[in-house]
Amino acid sequence: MFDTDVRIRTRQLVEAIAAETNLPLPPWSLSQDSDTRTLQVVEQLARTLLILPPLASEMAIKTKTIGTTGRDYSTITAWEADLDNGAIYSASDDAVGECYNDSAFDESVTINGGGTIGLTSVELTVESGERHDGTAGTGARVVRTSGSSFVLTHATTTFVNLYRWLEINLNGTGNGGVKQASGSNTAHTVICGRMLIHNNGGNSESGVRIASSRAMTVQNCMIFNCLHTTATTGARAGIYASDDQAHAYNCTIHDIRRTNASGGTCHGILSANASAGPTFKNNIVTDIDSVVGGHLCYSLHASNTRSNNLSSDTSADGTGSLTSKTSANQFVSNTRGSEDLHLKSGADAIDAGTDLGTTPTGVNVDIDGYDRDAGGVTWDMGAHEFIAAGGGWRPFNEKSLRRKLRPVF
Amino acid sequence: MLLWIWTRNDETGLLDDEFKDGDILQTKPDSFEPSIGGQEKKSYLIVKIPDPPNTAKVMTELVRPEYSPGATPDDEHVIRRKCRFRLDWRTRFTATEIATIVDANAVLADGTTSQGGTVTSGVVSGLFTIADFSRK
Repeated sequence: MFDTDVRIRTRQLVEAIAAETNLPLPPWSLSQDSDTRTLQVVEQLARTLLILPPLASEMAIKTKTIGTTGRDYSTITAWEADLDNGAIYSASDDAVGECYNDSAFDESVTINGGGTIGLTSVELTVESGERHDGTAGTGARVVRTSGSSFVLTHATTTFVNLYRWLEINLNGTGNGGVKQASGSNTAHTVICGRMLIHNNGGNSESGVRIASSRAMTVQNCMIFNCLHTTATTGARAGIYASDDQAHAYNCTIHDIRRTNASGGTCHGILSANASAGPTFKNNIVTDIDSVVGGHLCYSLHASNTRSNNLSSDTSADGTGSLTSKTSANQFVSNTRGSEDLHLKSGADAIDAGTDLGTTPTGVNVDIDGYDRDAGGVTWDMGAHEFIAAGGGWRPFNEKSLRRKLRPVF
Repeated sequence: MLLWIWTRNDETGLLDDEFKDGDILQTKPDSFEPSIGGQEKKSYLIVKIPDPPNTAKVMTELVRPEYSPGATPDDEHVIRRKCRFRLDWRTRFTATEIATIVDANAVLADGTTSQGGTVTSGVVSGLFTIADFSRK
């Protein structure tokens, strides 16, 4: 029986409608005052219907595990397909997919879910104890056994996407690493960081491909041992960027090559955008080769923004850049198949970078997880920040320690 | 052979770039069964069918998306979620079983289904064969 008082009757009707339609009433205590109580109920219903944004306290980071030993999902594909599942996510949530090194993933995934739900961000990353130590085969990874597409294709426009810490071993197949195909064109909303991308072959794609009118920032990544053997004439590169919001910071790119005399050329970093927008700073690019010639460590447009880059040829230009540097003098190991692209003592790249602060997000954290900004160090070029023995904190990496101690046991 | 079946329409259920009820998300060999995750058993219907002839080829073809034509074969643009094949899974379950299957927070209980299938740790076997899949 509804009250005859207008305010009370209104409240009663709203609560009855909410109960009938199974829309949730506020979990917190409702005011006893009829007007306030009515407003509380109506606002909560409006949030449920996405007419109002959710309360800050209701937004959540929803982390799901991905792996083959008792995880939430066994594949990245299955996790991604669930990003618009309203039973798991709510509007404004941050969705995180954490990969585990239970076994190698073998898939190509297009990331574009979450727009219907209205996620704030989507992050594909690796659980902290399962990350690589900057060398291949030491952490959670994708190892392709077939295919000719990109392992990760980004194709969403509505929010921030982050791809971090995952190793992509293309295993001699014709796949590429990461592609920004049809997603956001807003700067620094798609970030690819601390990833290892390596070992493609055949009619392969580039390590990272940023399509025109699509933004992506690649930072602190290592891209190496990329081989293209067929007669396809399109250019290939470690990073192939076509947009004015394509950026590469503190990346290490090594050993990119093409071997077919009828094919096109290849480069370490290729920018096809003729504006000042594309920005390339603190990168190392060494040992680029193509039998057809014309290959360059940096093939940039004159208008692109660049500084503090290193090349093994003469193509690195801009303030503070270093040219004609030998890869063997930079890296712990430049041996194909057993690369260790950490800087070694005496490398030309040490202390030759420019301080990028903390913008874009995460640029200050190197391939091993060391925070250059917090450490107050002079930035190196490349994905690894060299710290002399006894000189400063580095994150403890159990896997790295075990690897070094293995001969002892 | 294991197949992950979409149990709802993603968004409108009309457009090419949307998963639709009955679409096949992915395929795996039977040996993959212990690796299946807890959430995906709730989010999808995972069925096990007898391996068809040319299993490897079937596994690949069932999840290969449609392509739209481009200027050259190299320009083919993949319509990511336009799946070619589907399973009309709803006809083999009761309304109660369907309600559990589509609930992303629930999984079918182990045991026998209404039409004689077997549920083991969220995987339904003995209910479908390759002949139950159709080209859309």
